[in-house]
Amino acid sequence: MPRKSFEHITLKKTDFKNQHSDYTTREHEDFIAGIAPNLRGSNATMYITKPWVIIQNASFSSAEENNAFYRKNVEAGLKELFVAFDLATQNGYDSDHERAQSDVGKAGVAIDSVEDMKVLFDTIPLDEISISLPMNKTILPILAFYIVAAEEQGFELHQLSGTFQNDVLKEITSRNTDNYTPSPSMKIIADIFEYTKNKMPKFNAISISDDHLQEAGATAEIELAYMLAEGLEHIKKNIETGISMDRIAPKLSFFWAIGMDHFTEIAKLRAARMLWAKIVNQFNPKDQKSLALKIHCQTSSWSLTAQDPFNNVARTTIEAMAAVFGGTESLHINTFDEAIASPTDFSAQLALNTQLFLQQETQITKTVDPWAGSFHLEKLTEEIAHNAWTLNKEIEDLGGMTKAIEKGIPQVRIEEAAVKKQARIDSGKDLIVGVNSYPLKHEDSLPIKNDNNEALRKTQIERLHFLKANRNTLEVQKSLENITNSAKSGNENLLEQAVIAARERATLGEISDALAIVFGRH
Amino acid sequence: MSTFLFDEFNPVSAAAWKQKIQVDLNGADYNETLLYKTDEGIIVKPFYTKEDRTNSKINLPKKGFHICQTLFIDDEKIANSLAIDALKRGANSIQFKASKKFDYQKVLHKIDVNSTLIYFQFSFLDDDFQLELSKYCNSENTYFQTDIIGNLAESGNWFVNLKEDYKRLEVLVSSTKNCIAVSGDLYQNSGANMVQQLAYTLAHANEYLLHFGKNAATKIHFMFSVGGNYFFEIAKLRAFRILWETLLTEYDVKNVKAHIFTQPSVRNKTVYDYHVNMLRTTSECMSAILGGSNTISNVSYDTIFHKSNEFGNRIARNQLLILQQETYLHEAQNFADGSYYIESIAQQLAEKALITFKQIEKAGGFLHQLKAGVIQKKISESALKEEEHFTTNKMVLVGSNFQINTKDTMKNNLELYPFVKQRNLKTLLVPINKKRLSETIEKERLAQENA
Repeated sequence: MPRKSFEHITLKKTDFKNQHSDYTTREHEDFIAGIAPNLRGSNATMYITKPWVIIQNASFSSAEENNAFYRKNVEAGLKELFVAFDLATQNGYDSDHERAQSDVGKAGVAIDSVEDMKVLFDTIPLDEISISLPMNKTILPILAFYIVAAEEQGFELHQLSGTFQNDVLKEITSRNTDNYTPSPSMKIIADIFEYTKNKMPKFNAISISDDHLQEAGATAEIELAYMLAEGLEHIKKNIETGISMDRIAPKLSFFWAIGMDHFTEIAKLRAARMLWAKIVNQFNPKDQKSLALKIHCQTSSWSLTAQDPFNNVARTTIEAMAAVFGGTESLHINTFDEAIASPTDFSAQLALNTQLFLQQETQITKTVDPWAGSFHLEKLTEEIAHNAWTLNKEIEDLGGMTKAIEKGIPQVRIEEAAVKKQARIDSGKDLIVGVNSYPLKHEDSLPIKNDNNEALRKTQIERLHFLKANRNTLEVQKSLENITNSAKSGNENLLEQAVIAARERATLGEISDALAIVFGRH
Repeated sequence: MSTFLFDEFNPVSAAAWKQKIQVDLNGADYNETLLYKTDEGIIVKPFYTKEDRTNSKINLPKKGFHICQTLFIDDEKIANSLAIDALKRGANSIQFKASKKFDYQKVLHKIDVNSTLIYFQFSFLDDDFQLELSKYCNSENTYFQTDIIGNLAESGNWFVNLKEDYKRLEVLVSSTKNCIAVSGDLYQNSGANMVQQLAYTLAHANEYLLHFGKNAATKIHFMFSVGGNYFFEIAKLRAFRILWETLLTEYDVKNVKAHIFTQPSVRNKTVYDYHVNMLRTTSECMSAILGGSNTISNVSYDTIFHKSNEFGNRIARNQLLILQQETYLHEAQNFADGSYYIESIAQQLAEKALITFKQIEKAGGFLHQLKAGVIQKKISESALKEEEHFTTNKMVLVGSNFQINTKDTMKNNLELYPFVKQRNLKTLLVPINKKRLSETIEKERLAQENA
């Protein structure tokens, strides 16, 4: 019997047009990448010509350990360093302060003076590496230390590049407990802007961060709405001081936490770019680039579990992929043991390897916005954009983010969402593997790092004593008085004054105190 | 929606996008800089738009994917308790592998074969035993991964001989369900490119259809392996559904969806820096889900050098559980519908595979080409090409040919021999060897450790 012939066959095709109401082309699908509203990416070729920038933080306690970590990462191709400071530093206390006793080395690196900063960045090519600093109450001395450390290590100010992170949730929940009342903190920010504008043009002034917003219960829509509202507030304030939209825009970036709801997270970033373009467009920028949202992402820390920690390897990978599919320009991936301890060499390497794996093995960088057109994704993108715009309008109708917070609206919205989320967890609709879904009876032991706080504190105190014994006390006093006077009069640039004090070896606590005389501590 | 939220912005055409890119490129060559040509001969464009949608409906599984635990039956009681444990801890499917007959009542003790998808894969062909077992289970959800052609391709020999193998299978086809599998995974793991994998799997299946007739169509299911090329793997699985439906139309069979059992590839797994394997299996399981697999059995990060162990199995299963429960991908098999890029790639893969399929058929069919060594030659050409990419770092495996951790030592951590074994058995035809990409490098590194 002759073999059946298959020469004539052609691929079977069943059209699914008009099959399902969701299977439709949406209006926003006519937008592209690199032209506003930048649905599909902030530039026209995305990762094909430039993959996302790999960023891996360190959160070791001592400047030496962090430096060793930075060096290794820089060698491995890292281009941006995030610095997390310990609680003592964040609160403006030197390591020898009685209130800081238990806070030294907690959650980050201890920095008391420019000397610590020099150790932190020893042999790091600061002209090539961008630094990201959290914009909190000690930003002034920290930035001053960084500037002086860079100077003394032979770099010119104009070579330095970096970003300040401004946390939206902190703005919402703790604005009233800030070190300085709104107007002094605006004075500080304005002075930093002015200083960097003139002397450090590569320092991108502000990164608005949604760290912990999801953790607090916010939905993607809420996150999006409030991040952009915060951004809008920055624009308005700057425009009031006479800065043009085109000069503000390149200095604003957004720092997103990416969680486990994979396609929602992709949609969130795509919607964010469109909404941001819509917001900026109202200010009639001349440069098209001003309409492009600058995105940095970090895998969420709250989705990681202390239970069965190797499960986190998959979590961070999945989250990182969502960030990339959403079109992030830079990415930090958490270490899998982050919920338990500081990263070890092993866990930090695995996080870095996750980035390299995604860039090198999966071919996901070969085309722009690869998920575009997916009916599921485009529907989510449209819905999130609409819902976020409604929430954003609510804020604007109240007169902007600051006023809305005073009225308590964002707090209420987040609380409402948190209640719903909790209900989903309680009813078993939201599951977490290894925690409320198939938990282990016995956890495996994991080699972790114990942070020895007491030894570090002793070292820091010794260093402070040495520093204080070897500086010109008169000049230090003078520089600190100048800070206080500038804070009072508002005539001098506070960062300029802080840099002078840093050069004279004034400490973080001293500079904070000099400001507190005028601005108050609480 | 009455008014469009982004009315202030103008729509942009694909041509305008290309123009914008050309401006940005600043003189650099568009094709050179932006086009990516794959070994399948497919050119990936820098962007896809709604014009690239094929709008072809693919019949995907309606319910969510199944999480499978693969177990080897050595001792029946142990296999049973491991299976029950896996089911208690999130799996809803078990793949049992065996190299000899076993007491199935013991193995399946207290396992509900109606609600649990069970796959049996034997390295022997015993029609009486399979018949008995099939009758015992008597379930739509029991699948036998029996593949006499796949066995011939992999081992170089029939189980018994051509006539006897077909005779035994005939018995099974005539009276049991889900009794044939087509091992498309073999071609992936031996280095065939995606077009070859699709074409060979289809031609392989067609041998069964030609031999047993259209009634076998509902009895055949498919095994696939997916590697690291994320979107292409999604497209590959979708392309196969298009191809299978196309072929079945020729037999006047309608509304039969392919049942697809997927595993991450072993080809790209490595001995050194083996934790990267956990990253690989994560993305591969995602490809498997989004590609529309019915069932996925993950492989443990240490499967190539450790015996099956609780930790490795748990983390592998948990990766699928996390995807099922935490990422909102539990019913994501159709999320790729409409995707400009994936639909376009799937269509191209299917078109190219259909051409290869026709060539094979015209030349006498898959079995004929296998006996003539043509398939083997084509696969090894592809595999060599891929190995060359690996050697020249055009293809990367992190930790193996890129970012190598020279301090990593493995010689005391190998419970299993992780390389292709030399076979001395006389074979009827040249077998198709599964081979990992990093084997040569790993042998060298192990030798250095020993030095």
